Amino acid sequence: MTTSASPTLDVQWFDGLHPVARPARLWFDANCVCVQADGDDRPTDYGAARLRWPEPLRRGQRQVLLPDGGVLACADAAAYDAWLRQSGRRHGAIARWQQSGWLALLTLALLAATLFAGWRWGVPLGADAAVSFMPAYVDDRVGEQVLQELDRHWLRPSKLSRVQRYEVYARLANAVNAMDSRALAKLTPVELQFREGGRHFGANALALPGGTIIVTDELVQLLADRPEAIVGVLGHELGHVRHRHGMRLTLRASSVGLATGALVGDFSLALATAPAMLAQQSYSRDFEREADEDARKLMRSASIDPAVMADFFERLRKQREEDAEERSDSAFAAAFSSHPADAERIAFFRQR
Amino acid sequence: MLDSDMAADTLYAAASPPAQEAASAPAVPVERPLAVQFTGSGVEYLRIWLLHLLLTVLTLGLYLPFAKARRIRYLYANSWIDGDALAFHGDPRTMFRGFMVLVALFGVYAIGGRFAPLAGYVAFLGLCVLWPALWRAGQQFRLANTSWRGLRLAFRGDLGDAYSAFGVVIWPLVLMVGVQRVAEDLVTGRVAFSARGTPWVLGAMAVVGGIGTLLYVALLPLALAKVKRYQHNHYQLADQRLLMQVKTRRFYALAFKTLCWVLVPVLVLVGLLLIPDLRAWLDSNKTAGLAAIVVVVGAYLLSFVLVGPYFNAKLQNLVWNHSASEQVRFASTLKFRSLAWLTARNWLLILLTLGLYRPFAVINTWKLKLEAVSIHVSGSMAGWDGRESANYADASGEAAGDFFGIDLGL
Repeated sequence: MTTSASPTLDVQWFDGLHPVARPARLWFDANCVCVQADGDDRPTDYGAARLRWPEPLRRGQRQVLLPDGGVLACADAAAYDAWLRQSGRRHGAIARWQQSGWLALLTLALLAATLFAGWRWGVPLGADAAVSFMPAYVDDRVGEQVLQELDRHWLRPSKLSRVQRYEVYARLANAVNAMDSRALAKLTPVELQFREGGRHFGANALALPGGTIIVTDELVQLLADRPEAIVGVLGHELGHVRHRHGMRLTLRASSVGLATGALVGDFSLALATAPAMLAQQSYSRDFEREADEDARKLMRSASIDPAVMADFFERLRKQREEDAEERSDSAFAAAFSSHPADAERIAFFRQR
Repeated sequence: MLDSDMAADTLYAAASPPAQEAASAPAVPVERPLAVQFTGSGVEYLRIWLLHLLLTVLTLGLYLPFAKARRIRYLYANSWIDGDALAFHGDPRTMFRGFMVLVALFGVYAIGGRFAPLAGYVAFLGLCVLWPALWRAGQQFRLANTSWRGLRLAFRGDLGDAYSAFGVVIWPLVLMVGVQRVAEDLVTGRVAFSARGTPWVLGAMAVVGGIGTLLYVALLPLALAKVKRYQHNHYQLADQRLLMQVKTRRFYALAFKTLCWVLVPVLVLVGLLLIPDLRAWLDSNKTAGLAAIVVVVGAYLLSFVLVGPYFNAKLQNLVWNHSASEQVRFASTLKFRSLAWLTARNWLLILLTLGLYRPFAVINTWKLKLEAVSIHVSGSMAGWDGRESANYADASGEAAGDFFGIDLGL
């Protein structure tokens, strides 16, 4: 009955019930797939049913999975491929793509490009969108927790006098009052907290999610003879608060961590955390620039020359160097504590 | 077909019923080994893996179950037993549904716990309660969709046994992790009692958590024994039902020896630090601090290269050397040294190639583990009736796939 002109393929037919194969032939008819065992007088038609075809493996067994649980096995890969070609059929698109070494190189390039694009644009977009949907009380609670942690482990109560504190408040209030109403409307309410920074933080100011700004005693002392510069520092932190940088950074860095964890995580923790740390640094540089812009605006509206910030950065750098010498850390710490971005920031504040 | 089965094949081709065949078989069945061979290639698998990775990234992970199905098919089609390869019949669309359920479960656990403590607790408890059922579903799905010479495998363990196997460790685990999480939330002030009550509550919880941890560690080998027994006593191919006979104390012995391997790098480190000259040098020299860090990290990595492979190699040998069905017997001679060496090499090359060596690592680990197993069959296989396992596979396999597409080792 098999007087078909279509090319046939010799296969081993396992019926799914017995572990013994029957030699059979497989061919495509006009609109059906036919299998006929030696000795059967008519072929079985698997026409419309869903068959699953094998991929072009180099040494693996070619298996056609039949919908009734049976399997057609073909050990001769070359014969299978030749038969498929002669029948005018091809392997699926993905299967064909997998075969080529050049396409594999292209895949690698595309993969690298996709990962880079995701890291540079995808993650920031996604994380920022997520933050914009997040209600403000989440920021507040996260900020509270961070403050508690900082107070427990790193910071000490402030030793500044009331007068010193009021002076900082007053400078901030004056600067904000001088802003035009449009810029004022964009500001988020903030709360100043004074703390002793100690060994870990030194002269510093920190904006926590939710709007708490920590000012260290050391910062106020460092700027004792240049008190107007504090407006620049606070303006910078106000910028962080207004743009919700804290939450955005957390979400961006943790989603990079999550993604790398999913890609390589099952084998190395170190490899999974490194990109997250790199991402944190890179993203935070973007945020610093944005906050610097807000700082410069605030200073200009308060008629303070932004160039005083250059002096502030210079003092900060000197202090860091002294600290590093004092502690005489390894070459390791020195490599990490140098801030090459300082020059760029100084130039930014010197711009007219 | 292969020579030794020729006679049986002819018999089957003549459509003789199995009963008659058994009667005509020789009185003392001859045992013959089935050749086990793996022909997967690292380069080929790399190309597959790269494309799957790209598609997975582009679809934000949605392609993962489809990639998984394709990769299992690749590994199976290259795993030859007696001249025929395994086949994977899993439908990726079913696996996709199971994958989404799992993502939702773990998502609730991970995100819920961050913002609302209660949601985190509920999700954790839910995971603990569901875990044995999920695990069983995974076994059912994987086995029911695996065939050799057209015969489906089946996993016939019932739900009650799954809970009694895992139950041994789930209670201490709930105590340990639950108490730890509540304590964390108390300390960070996310959950509050009255100021006076808190120290008492914390004290009581430390005791309960401590007991939970001890119980968990002490019961872990027992749980492993029960889970492995549950697993291996419910594997079935045609009418061949596997039976594993290993005493529980052998699992305790394995756990103890593994623990000793954990101690080796620690002892080496302590020993090094005890040398006075070395300590003085470390204290005086600044770059030596860096060297010390490198040594500690090295010891940490070494422990992974030693401990994991030791445990895996010995466990595979232990369970497979004592697993047999009426006609089939297994022997596993996986060498700890080979696996440790391979693992070390894989890790190093993966690090050096930024992960690109991973597909090669998968292939050569699979090859080593699989080819260490030999299978011996006594008598004729021709009479095996696939309906015995296939009927069961049909009933359980599809439903189970709704939950789970994850594989759990070999």
